[in-house]
Amino acid sequence: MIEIKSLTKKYGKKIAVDNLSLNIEAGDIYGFIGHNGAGKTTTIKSITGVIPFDEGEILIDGISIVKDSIAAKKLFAYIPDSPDLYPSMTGIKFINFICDIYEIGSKERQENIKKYSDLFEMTSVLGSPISSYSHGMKQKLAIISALSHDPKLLILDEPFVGLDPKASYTLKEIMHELCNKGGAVFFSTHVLEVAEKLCNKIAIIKNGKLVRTGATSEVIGDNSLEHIFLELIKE
Amino acid sequence: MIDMKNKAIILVKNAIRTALTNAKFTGENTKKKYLFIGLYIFLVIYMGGFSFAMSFLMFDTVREQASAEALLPFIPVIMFFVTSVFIFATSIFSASGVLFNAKDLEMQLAMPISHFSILSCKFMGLYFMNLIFSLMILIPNCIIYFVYAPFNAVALIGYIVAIFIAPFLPTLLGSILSAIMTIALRKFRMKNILIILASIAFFVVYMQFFMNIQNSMQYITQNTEALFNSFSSIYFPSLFFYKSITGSLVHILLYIATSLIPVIIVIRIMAIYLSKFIAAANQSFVKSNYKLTEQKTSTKIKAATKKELTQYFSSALYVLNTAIMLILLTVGSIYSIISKSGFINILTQIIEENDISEMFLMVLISAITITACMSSTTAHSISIEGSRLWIYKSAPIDEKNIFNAKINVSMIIGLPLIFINVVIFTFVFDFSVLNMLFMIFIPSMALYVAAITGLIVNLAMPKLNWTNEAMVIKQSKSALVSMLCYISIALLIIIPGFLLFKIIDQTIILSGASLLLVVLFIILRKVLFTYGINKFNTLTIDS
Repeated sequence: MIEIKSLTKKYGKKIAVDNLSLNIEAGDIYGFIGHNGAGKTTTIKSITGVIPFDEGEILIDGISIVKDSIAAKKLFAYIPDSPDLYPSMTGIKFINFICDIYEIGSKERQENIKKYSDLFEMTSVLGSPISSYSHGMKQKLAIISALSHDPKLLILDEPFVGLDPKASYTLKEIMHELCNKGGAVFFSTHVLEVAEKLCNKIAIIKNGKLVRTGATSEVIGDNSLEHIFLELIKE
Repeated sequence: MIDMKNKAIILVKNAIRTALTNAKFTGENTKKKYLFIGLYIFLVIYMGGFSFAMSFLMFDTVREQASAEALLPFIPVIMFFVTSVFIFATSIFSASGVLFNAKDLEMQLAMPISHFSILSCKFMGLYFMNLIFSLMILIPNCIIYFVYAPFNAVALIGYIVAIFIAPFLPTLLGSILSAIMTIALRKFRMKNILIILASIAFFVVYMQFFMNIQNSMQYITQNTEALFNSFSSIYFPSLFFYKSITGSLVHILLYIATSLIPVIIVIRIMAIYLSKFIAAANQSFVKSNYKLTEQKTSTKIKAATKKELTQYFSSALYVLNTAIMLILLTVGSIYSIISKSGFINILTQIIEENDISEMFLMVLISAITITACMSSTTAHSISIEGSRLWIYKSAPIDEKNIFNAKINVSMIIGLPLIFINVVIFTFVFDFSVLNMLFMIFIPSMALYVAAITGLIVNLAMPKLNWTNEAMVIKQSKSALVSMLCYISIALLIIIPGFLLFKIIDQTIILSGASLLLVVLFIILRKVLFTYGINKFNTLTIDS
C-alpha cells in the first residue's frame, strides 16, 4: 500500500531522513518507533505530502505522492500528533468540510459520522465550536473526520497521546477492522507496549536511518520491544 | 537569589517588551530592527505633528477671543479629555490580551511571585503602551500652550507630571470594563461580530469628526469654557489637570494621589480574585445537545470558500484590518443619501467650486478602486493557516481550489460593497450606463488583481509559526509589502488617467484602464498558478 524508496529529507545541512526504504502492505498495522528527533514525523509528513522531500519516491497504491498527489491523497487519512484544527468551526462543520474535500456523498457521510461519533462519544458536542474542545476531544474529532471518508490507509503520528483509555481501545479496534477489510495502518508511537501488542510489523529509526524492520515477532525475538529499542539506540 | 525588587523589575521589563511587541527590536536581524524602529519613529512624528497642528489651530483661534488668557488652559484640558477617552477605548480591547490572556500568565502564577506583583507589572506594561500615545498628543500641546500662555515653572512641572499621570485612570477603567466584558461575553458566540460592529461605529464617528473638522474646530474654540465644564463634570481628573497646568502644587499632588491610589486599590482587589477570574474567563462551554441531522454536500471549492469565510469572520482583527476602508466608504455613501449631508455633499461642493465636473467620474472610480484594493484579504490568508496548514496539505484538494477559495473571500466581501457605492453614485450624479459599468468593472477587477497579488506576496513571505494573530495581520512583512502593492495597483490605474484626461477622451482612458487590469490579471494569475503553487508545496510550519 505504501512504498517508500530511498527517502531522504534534509533541513539545511542536517539530514533528517537518510535513504529510508519501507514497504507497508495491505493488512499491516505497522509501528514506527524512534527516539525524539529520529525522523519519524518527518517521514510521516513526507509520505502524506505535508512537506516536500529531497530524494526518493513515495507511492501510495502505486500512485506517486509527488506526481499525482490528489489521487494519492484520496487513499489515506492523516492525523498529526497534535492536530490543530480550525477553532472557529463547529465539530460537525469540520467533518463536513473534510467530507466535501474527499467528495463523500450525503448518505455515506451520514452513516460514517453517526458510527464514529457514537463510538467516540462525541455526537452530542459536534455542534459546539472546536475552540471549546479539550485536547482529547480535538484528537477524537480529528480521528472521526479521518474515518468519515472511509480511507484504505490510516497514517497517524502518535495517535494515542491525549486519548482516554476507552477512546484508545476504540481506535485499536478500528485499526483491526480496517486491516481486516484489506486496508493498512502506519503509525508512530513512543508507547512501546502498544506497538508490541498491536503491530504485526515494526520499523525502528535512529538518527534518520532505519536500523531494524520486519515482523514484530522477528524484531523482538525473545526480548521485549523496549529492550531491543534501548539496545539499538545505544549502539 | 533574586529578591522581590529585582523580580518586579524583570516582570516589568518583560511586560513592556510584550506589550510593545518589542521582540523584533531584540532580534539578530539589524536591518529589520532599524526598519521597525524607523517605522515607529515615523508614526510618532506623524502623530506628534498632527497634535502640533491641531493644538496650534485651537490656540491661535482662542487667543483672538476677548477672554483669551482665561480660556487658553481649557484647550489642553480638551486634548487631555480626548486622549483619556482614546486610551480608555483602546484599553478595553488591549487589556484582555495584555493582562488576563497573556501566554506567560499561567507560568507566572505558578512561580513564587505575588499575584499583586504579577498584575501590577502587567498593568505597567499596558500603561507604558498608553503613555506613548499620551506623550505623542500632549507634549506638542504643552509646547504650544507655553508659547501662548504666560510661563510658570510650577505650571510646567504640573503639565509634565500630568502627562505621565494621565494614562493611569483611563487604563484602569478600560481594564475593569475589559474584565467585565470578558466574563459577560464568554458564552456569547457572536462577540466577534459585536466587536466588529462596535469598531465600525467608532471609526464612523471618528471619520465624521474629520469630515467636519473645520466645523468641529470652530465649535470647540467658540465653546471652550462650556466644553471644559462638561468634561470636568464627566471626568473629574480634567479639573485636576486644569489646576495642575495653571500652577497649583496642591492640585498636582491631589492629581497624583487620585490617579495612583485607585489603581493600587483595584489591582490589589483584582489580585485576590485573579485565579478565580482566569478560571472563569477560560472556562469553555461545550454544549452537549447536538443531534445529527441530514448532512448536505458541497463542492470542494464551495467547502473551502465556506471554511475561509468562517475563518475570516472569526477574527475581528482580520476584518478590521482589511475591509474597514470599503465599509466606511459604503457607510459614508449611504449616510450621505439619507442625511443629505456627509462626504458626497462635500464632494459636490468641491466640484462646483473648482469646476472639475469632467474629472469627477475618475475621482469617484479612483476612490472606490483604492478602497477596494486595500480591502483585499489575501495578504494574510496563507500565514493565518499557521499550524493548521497540514489539513490542506494532506487533503486531496489542489492548490488552485485553495487559492481560489482565498481570493473568493476578498471578492465576496468587496463586490457587494463596490456595487452599493456604484449604485449610490450613479443615482446621485446621474451617470450613464457605460460610466456605471466602468465604475463597477474597474474597482472589481482591481480588487481581483489585488487579491491575487496579496496571495503571491504571502506565498513568498509566509509566517506560519505565529502565536498571536496580530503578528500575522498587523506586523508581518507580507502585510506591509502587500499594502504597498495594493496602492501601486490603484495608482497604476489612477495616475495615467488624471495625467491624460485633458488630452484623451475619458471613455478611452477608462477602457485603457480596464484593459490594463485585464492584462495584469492574466499575468498575475499565471504567476500564482506556477510560482505560487511551487511555493505552497514547499511551505512548512517553520516558514
